[in-house]
Amino acid sequence: MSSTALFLLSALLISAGIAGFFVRKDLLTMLLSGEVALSGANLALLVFATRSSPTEAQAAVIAILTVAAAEVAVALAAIAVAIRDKGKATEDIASEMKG
Amino acid sequence: MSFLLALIVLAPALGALVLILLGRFLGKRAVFWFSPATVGISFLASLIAFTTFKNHPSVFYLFPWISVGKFHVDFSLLWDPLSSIMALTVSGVSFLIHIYSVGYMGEDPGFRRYFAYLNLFTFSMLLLVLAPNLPMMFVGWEGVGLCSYLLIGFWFDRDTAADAGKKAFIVNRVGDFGFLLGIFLLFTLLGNLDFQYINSRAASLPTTAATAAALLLFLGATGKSAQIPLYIWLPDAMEGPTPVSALIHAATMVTAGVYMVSRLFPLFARSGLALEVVAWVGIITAALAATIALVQNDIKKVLAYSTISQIGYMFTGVGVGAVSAGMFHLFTHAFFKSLLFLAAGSVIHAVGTQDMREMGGLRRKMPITFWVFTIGALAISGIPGFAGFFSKDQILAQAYLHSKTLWTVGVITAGLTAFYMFRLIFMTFYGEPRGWKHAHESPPVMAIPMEILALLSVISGWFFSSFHQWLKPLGYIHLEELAHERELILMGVSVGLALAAIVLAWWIYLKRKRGLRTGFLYTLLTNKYYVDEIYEALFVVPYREGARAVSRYFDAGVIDRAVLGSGKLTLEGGRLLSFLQTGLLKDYALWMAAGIVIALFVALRGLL
Amino acid sequence: MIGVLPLAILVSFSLSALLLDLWAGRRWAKFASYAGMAAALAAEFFMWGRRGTYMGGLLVQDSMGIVAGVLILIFALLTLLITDGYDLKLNIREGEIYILLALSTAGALVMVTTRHLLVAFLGMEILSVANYALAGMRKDELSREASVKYAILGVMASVFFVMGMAFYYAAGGSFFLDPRVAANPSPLALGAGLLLLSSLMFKVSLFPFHFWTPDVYQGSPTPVTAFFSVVTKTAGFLMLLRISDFVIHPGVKWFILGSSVLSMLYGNLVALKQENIKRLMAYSSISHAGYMAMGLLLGKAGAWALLFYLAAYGFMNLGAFAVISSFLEKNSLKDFQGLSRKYPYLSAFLAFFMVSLAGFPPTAGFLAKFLLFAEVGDAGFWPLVVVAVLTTLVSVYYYLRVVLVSYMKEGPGIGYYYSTGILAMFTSTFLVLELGIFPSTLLVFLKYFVG
Repeated sequence: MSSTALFLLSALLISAGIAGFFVRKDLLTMLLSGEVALSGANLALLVFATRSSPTEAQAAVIAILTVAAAEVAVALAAIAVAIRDKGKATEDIASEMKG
Repeated sequence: MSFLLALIVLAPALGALVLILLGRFLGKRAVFWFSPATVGISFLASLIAFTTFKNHPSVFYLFPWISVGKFHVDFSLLWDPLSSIMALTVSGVSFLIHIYSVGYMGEDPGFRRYFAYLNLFTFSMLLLVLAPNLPMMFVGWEGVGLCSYLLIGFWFDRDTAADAGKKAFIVNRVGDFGFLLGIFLLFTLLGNLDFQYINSRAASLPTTAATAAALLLFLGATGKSAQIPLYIWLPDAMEGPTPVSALIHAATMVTAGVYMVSRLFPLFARSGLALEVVAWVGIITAALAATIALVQNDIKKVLAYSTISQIGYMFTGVGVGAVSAGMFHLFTHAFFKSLLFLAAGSVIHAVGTQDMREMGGLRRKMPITFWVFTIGALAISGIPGFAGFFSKDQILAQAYLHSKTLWTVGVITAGLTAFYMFRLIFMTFYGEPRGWKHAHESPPVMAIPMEILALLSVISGWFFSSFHQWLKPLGYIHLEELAHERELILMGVSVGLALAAIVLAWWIYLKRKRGLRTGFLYTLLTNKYYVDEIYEALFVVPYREGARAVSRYFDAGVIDRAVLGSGKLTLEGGRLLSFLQTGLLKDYALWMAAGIVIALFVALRGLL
Repeated sequence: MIGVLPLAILVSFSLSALLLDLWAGRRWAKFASYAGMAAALAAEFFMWGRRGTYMGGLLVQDSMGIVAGVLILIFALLTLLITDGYDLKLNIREGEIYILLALSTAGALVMVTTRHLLVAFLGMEILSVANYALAGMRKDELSREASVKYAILGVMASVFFVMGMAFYYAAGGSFFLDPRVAANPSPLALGAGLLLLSSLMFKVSLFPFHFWTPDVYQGSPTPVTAFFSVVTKTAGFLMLLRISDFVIHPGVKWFILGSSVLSMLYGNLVALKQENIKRLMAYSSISHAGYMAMGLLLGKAGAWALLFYLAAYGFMNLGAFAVISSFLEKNSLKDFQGLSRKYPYLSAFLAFFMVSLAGFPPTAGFLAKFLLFAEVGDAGFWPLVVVAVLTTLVSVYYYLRVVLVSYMKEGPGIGYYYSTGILAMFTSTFLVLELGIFPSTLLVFLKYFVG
């Protein structure tokens, strides 16, 4: 694939991920959308790196992916507790506080 | 010398600290001795520093406060002719009022808190006065504001007191807004905020910049010194204990604005417009407040409006370029107005009401109070021989040289002053007792401070020329010369007007005894004096109604609504905005995405 | 290698705390966290004045970083004091709260000791992931909601940061922060700047990335809220300072300026109607972020004023939260009624910190505002200073409302004294007064190091 195509793909992933935040009401899907957007950003990083030295960026992507995994683990734990308490995971279970 | 100056400021601070932290372990008598003693030390130190002073301005460096980049502010104290006079007045009056408070507040369960606040106030005020630069003055400025707020709301279980405190606070913050911006502007213009530096460099400032800075600072002064448009808090501030009204809301804090303008006079003078504004705001406030004072029935409210009016005179004096005259009125006013308040406090203490319609005939029961009050009233009315005469006369003479209109308004206001002061005396001390049963003279602990102040209210006026000479080293003190005969004529007019006003007050409120008593219109309609009725119809009624209308619509209506209404608007704004906080993740994410998209769009628009 | 000492100490202590918690119980984990932070603080003081780069330039000890590092460690130690005593009362029996606080602090330290975007990202994530867990430490619905909200929105902020990194790499071919890249007027560099800024603005709660703040502040355990409001903010602002070279682009300047004004207005106005003290403090935190953002406009020249503000804000906010922690999650303003009768010292502390937050002399809150506003005005941003002073006026109303309720309303007066909390209040009071009256103690270093 050409770098333009890859760049378009990453833009697509980012947009789809961020759009997913607004259209879905399910906390799990929202989290998933976030991760999709993050992958898109990672892909963009790799595509940009092909122009200069790719090694540094590739190492960075691996580090970012690792960190993202940790982040997801904590977020999933929080959502899991919510599901256990409420039996569902729509965003209205987390809208007690406002104003 | 450094030590003495530090002592002046720190003695009351120490007092406040001890009372706040250890007050509960101190007995009643210990507090009564300790609190006034700290202020007494401060007064003695000022007196020694004053007498040994070699009359050239000097800054006593204590320690560096802020020092970073081009920003250098030292913690030091300025002892010069202006600050020495102020320090002496503040510590002296504060000392007397502390003693008086022992009698007045001794039975109040919150007396420890009261004396702690009062000491804290004295400390802040002395800091304000001895500050050598604007940031330190601002520290004192905010300090006195905070203490004033605490003391107005001292009896916070009364709703009116809590509200009055809040009002004073809000209004003063509007003034502080101007003051702070003025400080920042001066910092940008000059890079240094020492008074001596600002004054020496004022002449090199561009006129517009100087005008902007001066007017911003003056906005601060109108807040603190209760001038148009920010005077509305002072009458309500009378909810505080009376000695507080005497100290803070008559003699010291409210005159801080005049002091500040005098301090930075060269800056104001650089911008002719700013001085003109000061003079006119002063005289209009003086006239407006005096008319409102005519129809008040609350003894403290009369005095409050009178304070606003007298401070207006001081601003007029400074505004027409006569700093020494304005400051001299501040000096004499501190004595006679605190005296009037203390005497009023003595009356309130005795009869348990502030409504003059329920007083009357107190002259025999309270001879000392009566006499000292009369001296204070004669002083404020500008009767020759008494302090107010000399200071007010100087201001009027200088105003006359500046603008005839200023003088005319000023002299009429002087007449009104004499009228409402003697209306107060006749309603309170003469005539038949109305309503009160047991009145008694105040104990010596209250009487003696009043007697001392009464003495000062007479003699302090005799020293204008030495006062003027004393301030001379400041470099910007000068008076215009007025031809002697002209001066005598002007003096004659104002004294004549004042005497006539007193006679008029006597005639209305005493001669016809049950005749005119404000609020009891039916008694006026007895047919005894046909002339009176014509007079009433032609002059007094329209005038009184007019004054009342001013009081009602202008005072309570327009300005209140403008100042407090903006507060309501702000609250509503907050309520509306909080609807954005929906609690839904989706909305929050949408805001974030929108934020970044808009930012990218705006930033990259020109590039893509 | 001496430059990594504070970081190495803190990380090794917090990892051993993790093990000690398993083997020896929470008491030892707590002890290890205290000890780690104290030792790291000592090491940081030892670093005072020694600058350099380490690990191939990935870690940097520069003046800004050292000052921020010291502040972060003091803040974190005070947070531990507030937590200690609160946790058992609220049935938080796990030692993890201490370990997570220590790890989170380590993340913040990483953020302030690097000029490399990837390392900064790692530090930010260490901080954030620990924060998400901390927000949910209390076992109730609000705490859980706080955690979920913070985590999901945090993922979005991370996406922004990684996108910013990608753009930055495309523009400059490296992850090292370089003024030349920032000055480059290409769309890539500009986009990188905006994306990185937005991500960090989320961390420091600036408009319009602040929406998580009130909900997370309200739901999290109070000591953790205190931690978010000072440590996370300090680390975030230091990173913002490091990328403030982007300000030379008008687009970026307007972005920060707009965000600053809107944060001041939004934070202060919405705070007026709050009935929950933690939400009130959250809006106050948004507005203070708005004030501090003004300092970013000056680039590195304004760093000293911003750092002074961070120090002052940190101490007075921690003090206020130490008092609020004493109410054990009874956070309605009504719960403060009658406080002064029953707990005079608690209400005196509360009043003191509120007065400082409102910006009255002679407290640090006044001086911080004064110096920052003067500096911003001096740089020519006059309309901004006018807005700042006006909104400060507004803020007095809600800060003093808290004082009024505790002093002038009758009520049963609830509260709970715990010795470490009182110690935190005393320390904060001392530092707030110290910075207000003898600011030179800090300014000397700021001037020498930063400006």
